[in-house]
Amino acid sequence: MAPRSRGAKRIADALGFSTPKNHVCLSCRQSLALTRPQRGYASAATAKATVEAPPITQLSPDGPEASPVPQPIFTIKAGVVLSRPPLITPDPHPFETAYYLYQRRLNERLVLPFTQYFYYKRGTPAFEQWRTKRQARGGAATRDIGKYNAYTDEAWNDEVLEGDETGAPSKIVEQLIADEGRAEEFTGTGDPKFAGLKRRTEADEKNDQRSLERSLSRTLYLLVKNKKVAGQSQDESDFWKFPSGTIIGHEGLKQAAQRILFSSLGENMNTFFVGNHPVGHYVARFASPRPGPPPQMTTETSKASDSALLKQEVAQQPDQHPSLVNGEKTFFMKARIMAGQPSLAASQDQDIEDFRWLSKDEIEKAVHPDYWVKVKNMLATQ
Amino acid sequence: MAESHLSLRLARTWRSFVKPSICNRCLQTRRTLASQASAPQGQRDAELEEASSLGGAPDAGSGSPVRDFDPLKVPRSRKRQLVPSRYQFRSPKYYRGPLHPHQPPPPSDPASREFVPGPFSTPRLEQTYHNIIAPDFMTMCYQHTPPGFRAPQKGARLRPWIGDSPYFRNRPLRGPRGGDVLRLLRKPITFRNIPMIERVTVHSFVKGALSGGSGYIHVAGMALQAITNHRVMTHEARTNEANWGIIKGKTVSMTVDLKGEDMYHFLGKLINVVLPRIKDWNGVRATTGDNSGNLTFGLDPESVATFPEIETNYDAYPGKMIPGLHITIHTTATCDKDARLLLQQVGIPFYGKVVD
Amino acid sequence: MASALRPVLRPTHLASLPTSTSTTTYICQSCRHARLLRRPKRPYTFTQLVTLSDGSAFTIRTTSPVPVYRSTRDTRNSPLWNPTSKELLNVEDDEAGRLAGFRARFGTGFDTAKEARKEAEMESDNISNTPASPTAANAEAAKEPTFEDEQNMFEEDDMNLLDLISSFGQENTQQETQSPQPKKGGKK
Repeated sequence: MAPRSRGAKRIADALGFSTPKNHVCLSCRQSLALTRPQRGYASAATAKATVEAPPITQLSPDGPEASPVPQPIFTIKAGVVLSRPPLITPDPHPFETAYYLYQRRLNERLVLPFTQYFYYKRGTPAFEQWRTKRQARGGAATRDIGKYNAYTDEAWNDEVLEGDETGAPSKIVEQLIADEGRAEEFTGTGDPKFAGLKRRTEADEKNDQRSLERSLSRTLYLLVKNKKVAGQSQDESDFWKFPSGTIIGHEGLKQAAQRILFSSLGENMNTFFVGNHPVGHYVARFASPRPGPPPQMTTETSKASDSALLKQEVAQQPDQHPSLVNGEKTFFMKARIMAGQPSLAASQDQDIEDFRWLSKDEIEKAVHPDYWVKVKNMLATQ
Repeated sequence: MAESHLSLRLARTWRSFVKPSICNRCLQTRRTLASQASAPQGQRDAELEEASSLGGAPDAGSGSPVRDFDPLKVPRSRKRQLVPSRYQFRSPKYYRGPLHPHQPPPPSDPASREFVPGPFSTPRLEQTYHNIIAPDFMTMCYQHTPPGFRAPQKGARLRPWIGDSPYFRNRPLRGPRGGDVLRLLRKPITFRNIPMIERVTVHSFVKGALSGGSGYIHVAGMALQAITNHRVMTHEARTNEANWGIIKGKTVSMTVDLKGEDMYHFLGKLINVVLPRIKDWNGVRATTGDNSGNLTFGLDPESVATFPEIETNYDAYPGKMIPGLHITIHTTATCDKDARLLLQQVGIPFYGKVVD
Repeated sequence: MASALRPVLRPTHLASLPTSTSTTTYICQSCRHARLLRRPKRPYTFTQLVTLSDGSAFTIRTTSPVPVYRSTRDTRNSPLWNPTSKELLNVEDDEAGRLAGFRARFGTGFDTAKEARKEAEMESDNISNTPASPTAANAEAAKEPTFEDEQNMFEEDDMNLLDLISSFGQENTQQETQSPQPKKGGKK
């Protein structure tokens, strides 16, 4: 830095408005101050402690009354992000298709020529068949580059024209099957050409969002719509959510998620919970404190010993479940469905109105915007 | 230069002094939030085309110039050929040093003699990895630490020499405890270091070549090339070993290193088609591994013969000469446990006692 | 300068891409003679359609000129990759009904349901409804998705079977309390 400009900087410093902090206005500085403490662990811990309610086990009857500021009390819920992984590879972007075709034609010019006599003995019927098909292809050995011969004078003309479908995967597969000549074996029970290679199903055509055979190339997530409860506002019951429920007693998130999934949507599902940790969480704050969930009795699926323990605890600490809560926190567990389907008729709680299997961009339209912001980062794009 | 800096700076500070209400951050956020529709219109680059050329042509009717364009029309109507020396570039065959006026293009240039064309497809296994396996792996291996948690500080892994001896001064650190191998550290799995398959080495030791002549080497080379889509690299024995009949300088083995697309295609083929056809196979022994996330298993000649490429023209290979293989899968995991978890997800079964 | 401050939007290397193709030419630093730039030798490759035994198909790059490879034995019908599949395993000797009882007591609902359904299917051979999933991206072992879409027919008459099995299991609970809890997932 030149001495003169250094002097200018000193003047500006003396005036007090050249430091980067002073370029930030008041509202921004407040927002910065809000975000900054997360860098240090200790300060983050203190900030968290002010916001978060202490764990339920440590809540003694005189706890909240002893502290001068009443802390918000949350219901802890477990949610299930049940997903079906993509079953087929996604359709490539047009640029990918074009790029791969270009590379394959380039490769045709640079690679060692195909040693056809190693695979087809001269004079055999297989060789004659191979030769006629190769000539029909314009002399190229491979079937995925269209009519292109790298050994002619016009080999430079390797770019396909507008609207040419040569490089499309469906076209390549069609070409391969036609070359093999056993196309009828791909036709399944249905009529259409190559039914075994169909990428769209009936559920796609009908847009059957309850079916697991829709959108085969996307990850589908299970969303449910709860039945209307009397004290609930209109838009709360209107939006879709991941299945969730309140944790009972000392059960872990994974056990709770499993129980909630089976009790609310039937047991006809083969699921696999990925890991023991939640993949995301959603905090809902109520406008006014509401009555918390009643201390539920255990469902019949849980073990007898567990229920005895729980009843004992509930009897010991009647004040454990607060009468009024300020909000609820939902922790989402990730699960995969291997087989089966949820069924509303088999559910025990009967509080679910409908379910759907949706991909990520369909979820965005179905859920509440605030919910979407909290939930979107744990969903796979594809 | 300095004057202009000075004046600019003074002007800017003065401006901010006069109108301190709006800062740069605010301007940015306001543009994105409020004036979203109007502001970017003016900002958009004039050179950027709005329409993509990859989608359907906007005016691709039957009689339009887009449809009727024939790239071969002009060259075919030409009476004389263009002069090749003016229109064609030939890379020099030899590299004659950095000072030579005629330099070869870099290997990434398609005109270079060393150019290797890029990927030709997106392998199915690679897409499965990115869409399904990697997110699940991160969820499974996630380690939660509470907000105030601070990992206990560990001492340096290698100890210094402590003592009064003058020879301890500036001496390199002491070796690791209990041996001379410093094992890799396992860091917590985050979205940045999810283990993935880095490369696959296919190795074949051709025992028949020691006594049976070079035919074994040629057949093994062809078989490996057919399986892996790559030319093999042969290796000579480095020492004499009388017990095993190894003579120094004689070609005894060959390897292929696979990466990227070829690797994924090879693994997909191996897992989906070849491994299920091995008779009475329980899986890969779980004790395999070199403690750094690289796992090896072997295939006998009968299993190698079931690769689709060899099966199609099995007659072309002399039956006794098909080699067995060692397949080493190098992963970016730093311990065998992670690597095994990854390969289990990919579809390789493991059996037996687990050693970590 | 300014370029150093510009945020890098593109990663320097994509982890999935090959970092570098191995150069076939040995670069000799000390030698003074002209060095031959060798063309790399690569075998000719084709695109091949691999069809697995359940009808799913995917394309690979291969050296073999056969357009379609039809597999008869693969991960879709091998018992090692489908440990829960009943069709592929030998019939388990469950003469005392203890395994069924164990499942009824400790297994998830799906296991018992599956058991009951299998028996129901014995009588009425329904058509196979395996979803033909072309280029299936699901390569994970033991994650064979065979989706049942007739969950509604399952409820009425199979519940009786379920009750029968579960009540059968209740009789000999004393032995089964020592048995370990079955693992939920195929993986850890």
